[in-house]
Amino acid sequence: MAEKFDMSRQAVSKHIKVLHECELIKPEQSGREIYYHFNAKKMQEFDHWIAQFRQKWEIQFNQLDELLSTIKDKK
Amino acid sequence: MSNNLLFDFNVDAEAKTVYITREFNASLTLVWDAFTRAELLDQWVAPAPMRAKTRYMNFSVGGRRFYAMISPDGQARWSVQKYTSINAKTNFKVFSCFADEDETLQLPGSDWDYTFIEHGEKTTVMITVYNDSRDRLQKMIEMGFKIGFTLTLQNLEDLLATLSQKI
Repeated sequence: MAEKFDMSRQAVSKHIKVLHECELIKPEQSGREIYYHFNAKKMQEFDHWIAQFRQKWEIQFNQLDELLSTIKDKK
Repeated sequence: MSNNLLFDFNVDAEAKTVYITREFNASLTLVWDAFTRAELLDQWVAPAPMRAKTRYMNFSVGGRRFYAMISPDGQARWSVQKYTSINAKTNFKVFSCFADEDETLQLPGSDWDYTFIEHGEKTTVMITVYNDSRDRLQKMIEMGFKIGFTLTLQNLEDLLATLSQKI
């Protein structure tokens, strides 16, 4: 993995630690090795969270669309 | 809402930057005015059921806008925007910061860059929001989250219905 991303093993391990803390990956012990799996459900939660923020903008911009068309109609 | 207008929204947490691109079905002059004139800004910047009220606005380099977002129960969240650069109908930059009702800044703030491009009868606005502090970015996202969350599905549906009737 370190080779693939052109970074040190320590750096990879640090990234894995953060991803694990965020629950974006799930560890699975297999003998003396740990396999990490992508946690799609958590990613979806994150996506949903960001979507709420996006929604705020969407509402604002829709309001602006309405205002712009009102102004255009007046002219 | 089948207006087919481009809307792109990206958060780059690493760069502490939010990128927003939105197309509007109006001329550059009109869109520019909607982003730079208080009486127009107040009509759209607050996501319903919130409303915006500008106490004063001086759109010039070094000038400021002091305004509040007011929730339905009357609570006001004040902000100050300082204009740091303006190129008429092309670009403007603003430093934005929460404040109290006496205009005392609650640092840190964020840097906003707005670029306007007209193409045919449409105008595209590109916005980048840079937060020096990751906590501030987090807070901004959370506020957006709260506002989004506060809107009940019913409110949203009503709004969408009204909008589609008017179009």
